Parts: sequence; structure tokens; C-alpha cells
Amino acid sequence: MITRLMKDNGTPLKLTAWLMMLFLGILPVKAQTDSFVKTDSALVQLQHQFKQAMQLLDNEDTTKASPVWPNIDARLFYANLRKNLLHPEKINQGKATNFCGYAAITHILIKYRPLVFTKAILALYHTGQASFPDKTLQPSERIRQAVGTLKRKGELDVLHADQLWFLTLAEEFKGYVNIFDHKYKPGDENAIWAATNFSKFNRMLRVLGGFKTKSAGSDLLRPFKSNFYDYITSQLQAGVVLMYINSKYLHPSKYTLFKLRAPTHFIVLYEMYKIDDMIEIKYWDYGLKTEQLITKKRLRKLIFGVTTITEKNYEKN
Amino acid sequence: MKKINYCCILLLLAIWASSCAVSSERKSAAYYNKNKLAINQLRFYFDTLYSQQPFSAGFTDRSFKYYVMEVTTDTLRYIYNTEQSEAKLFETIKKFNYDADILRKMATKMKEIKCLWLDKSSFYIDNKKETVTFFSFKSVLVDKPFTENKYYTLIFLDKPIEHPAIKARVTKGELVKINDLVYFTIANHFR
Repeated sequence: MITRLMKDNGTPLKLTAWLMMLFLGILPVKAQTDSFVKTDSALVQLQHQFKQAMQLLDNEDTTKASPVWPNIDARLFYANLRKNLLHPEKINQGKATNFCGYAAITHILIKYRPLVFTKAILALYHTGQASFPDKTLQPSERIRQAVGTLKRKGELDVLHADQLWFLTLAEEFKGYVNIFDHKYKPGDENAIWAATNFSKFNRMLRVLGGFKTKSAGSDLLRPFKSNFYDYITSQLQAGVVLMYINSKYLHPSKYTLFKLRAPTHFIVLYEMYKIDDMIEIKYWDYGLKTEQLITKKRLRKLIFGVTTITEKNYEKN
Repeated sequence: MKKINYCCILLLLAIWASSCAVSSERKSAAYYNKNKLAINQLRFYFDTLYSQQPFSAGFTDRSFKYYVMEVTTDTLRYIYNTEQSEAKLFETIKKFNYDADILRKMATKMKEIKCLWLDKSSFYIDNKKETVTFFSFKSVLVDKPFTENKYYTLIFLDKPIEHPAIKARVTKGELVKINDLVYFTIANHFR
């Protein structure tokens, strides 16, 4: 199988490199999923980052509690961090939270910037702050007390590294939707305090990952594209595609008379192709990739924003 | 023109009045007790199929005509429904080797008792994972247009859970205990 994949790709990569890619979930079998890592040198750089990230984690004392985060269980924190690095597709925003934007960004960040993510989260854990070229994350006392205490969020209850990361991002990045609610209160993870609008989402991608992004659409108006299918498939060839969607059209039901025409959710799109009159999509959200059919009409109703990460700016970070 | 406007207003008022006149009594423990046999049969079918491969299922429409099935593996979720592509759904059923006879019985039973959605859900108590089965129905006993848009969700436990967090939810009225292993809640979402 591996030999066949190597032949298909036409690049003489070694078996270890393939295994590393398998770990990272970036096997370049389909152009749509891997158009971001375009060259061998980029791939080698990514493998190197992943190795360094794992080494950083291996050097940690996983029993040592952090003085900054009183409610974090060190064992749960490190187990969560290791799982994230090995399986970035399993990142889960948790039940009933507004963390979808942060989860989608984290999924991409771990996949393509594992070292940046690991350094940042370990710095937050040990010192309570992490620096990026254009921003320093320094969560407040309210957040430091809240992390480790979230309940009734499904698996997120025991994912203390994810709680730290999502709550920190939600506090540190604010958009116009958060203007009336800046201070965290228990339960705000489900409320407008944690919400993410399209421009805030794109800003987070640029600041945290140093990614170059191209976007179409907005919080209110859909992208001005005559054919969404053609546009999105062309973007899948150009890079990593993230979409801002109305989730009511992802899981449609006819039980309600009224559907709010507004975006509600962020997903990472992996594949899109036509099957007869239908469109099959494969996307990531809630810790899994999903494969489903959708009509052209519903595709138009579904999408409000499309962001393409075209390349990474390595020098910047 | 004015006459038409008056007629429209009168018609709307009539619809509103008739919708108010319809009993909007919610389902309760009595509903479970009355349909216990059918619900337990449905649970048996669901658990049998779920043990082959985890999934959730339901309907996409008010007339209970189109089925949707979401099959979950450790890395991928397949969502297909009969409204868009029966072939894809059957392909998925075949792929995971579900017992077609039990699946048919489950689908028939769901339709019979108007179960909108069935699934399993996990939560954590003192860092320990607990999994429950849940079935969702429309909350009102008589389903008419303009009635309450909420859902009656039956929750089935595998073993009794005695924990202050659960007791607190019962006290608050978020959960209603039917017996040690069955609870119900009135929710805003059916899944």
C-alpha cells in the first residue's frame, strides 16, 4: 500500500517519512486534502516540527501541577496534549459550546504548526502567557480559575488542555459579536462571549498560525460567486479550505417552520465532488470527518464564508 | 383590496385561535408507561444494531417518510438519508453488515411510535464516562401546526446513577425520573 502511494505521488520519500505523515494525518493521496503541503521541503519541515513538538512534550514532568491553573489535573492535561498531537482530527469543541471556531483553528494549527501550538500551550500552562509575533496571550484570573471546571460538555470535561486553549482564545480574541460581553462568567462558553464572527476567525488563523488567508463571504452575505461548487473545488486545489456555515442546512430537518438565515458553525472541508445531481462532501468538525450528500441548492444556503489558507509564512513565526 | 386584507386578517386570527384551542399537553411519564412495550422493543433493536457499529438514526421530515442514518467509526461519520439517495444509505448499511431484518423492524417501530431520533450520548461524572441511550419525540401529545416546538427525550441508563449532580438536575426539574433506569426531559433540540 505504502509503495503504491509512493508511486502514485511520484516522490522518493522514505518509509519513515510516510509513517510520520500517517501520524499527522496528511498522507498526500488526494490532492484536495494536501494541496497545502506542496513541496518536499515543506513536508520535511512539517515532520521536523512534529518531532520537536513530541520531544518538548516528552521532556515534561507530566505529574507536575501548574501553579497558574489551580483546577487543571496535570495527568489529564498532558494526556490531552499528547492525544491532540497524535490525532489532530480528534479535537472536539465539546457539547453545547460556542467553541467551533477555536476547535477548527486548533485542528489546523496542530496539523500544520504542531511546534507553534505545543510551545504556546506549554508556555501558557507553566507561566500563564504565550507570545506570538503579533499577540501575547495572557488569560485573566477568571479564566485561570475556570479551566478544569467545565461540566456537561461531553468529553471536553476531561480534556483539560483543550479547556485551557479554547477559553484562552475566546477571551483573548474579540470580535464585534462579543462587544457587550467581555468578562467571562461560568456558562459563557455556551454564550455569545465565546462566539466567533468571520473576520475574527480569519484574524486568529493569521495571528496564531502565521497563515496567509484568502476569504470570500461574510457574517451576513454569502460569497458573491455564481457557482459555489466550482469556486470551492478550485479553492481545495489551492490550499486548506475552512467554511463558515449555517449548520441547520448540514443536518436538515423539517420539524421547524422557521430557519434563521445566518452562519452558526465553522468546519474544515476536505473533499467535494459530484455524484449525479448531488454533491458529496467530506468535512471535519466535532472530532471526526463526516461524509455526506448535499444538493446544489442546499450548498448555497449552507455557506456564508469560505477561507482558504494558501501558504504558510515560515519566516514570520 | 381592503376586503381582501380583512379576509387575510380574519383567516390568520382563525388559524391562531384554532391552534390555541388544540390541546398542547406535553408528553410525560404516562406516555412512556403507555408505550413501554413498543419503546423497549425499539431499544432492543437499536442496541443490537448499535453493537455491530455505532450509529444514530431518525427522520428528516414531519410525515415520517424519509429516514436518515449516521454511522460512526473511530475516524469517520457517514450521513445518508433516503430523501437524497437510498442507494448510498443501502450501500452504507451493507458496508457495515447491519442485520437488514432488525433494521427494518427498528425503522417500522420508529415510525409507529413517531420517534424522531435515537442515539447514545456520553457524559462524565467525577471523570468517569457514562453512556446513555436517548429517544426523542415531539413534546406535545397532539402534533398540530403552531404547537410548542420542543422535544420529549427519553433517557435510558444501563445502571442506576446515584450522584448529587443528577439529583440536582432532578430537583431543578431539568430531568424527570420515571424509574431508576429511565428519565425524561423536555428539550429544545431533538439530537
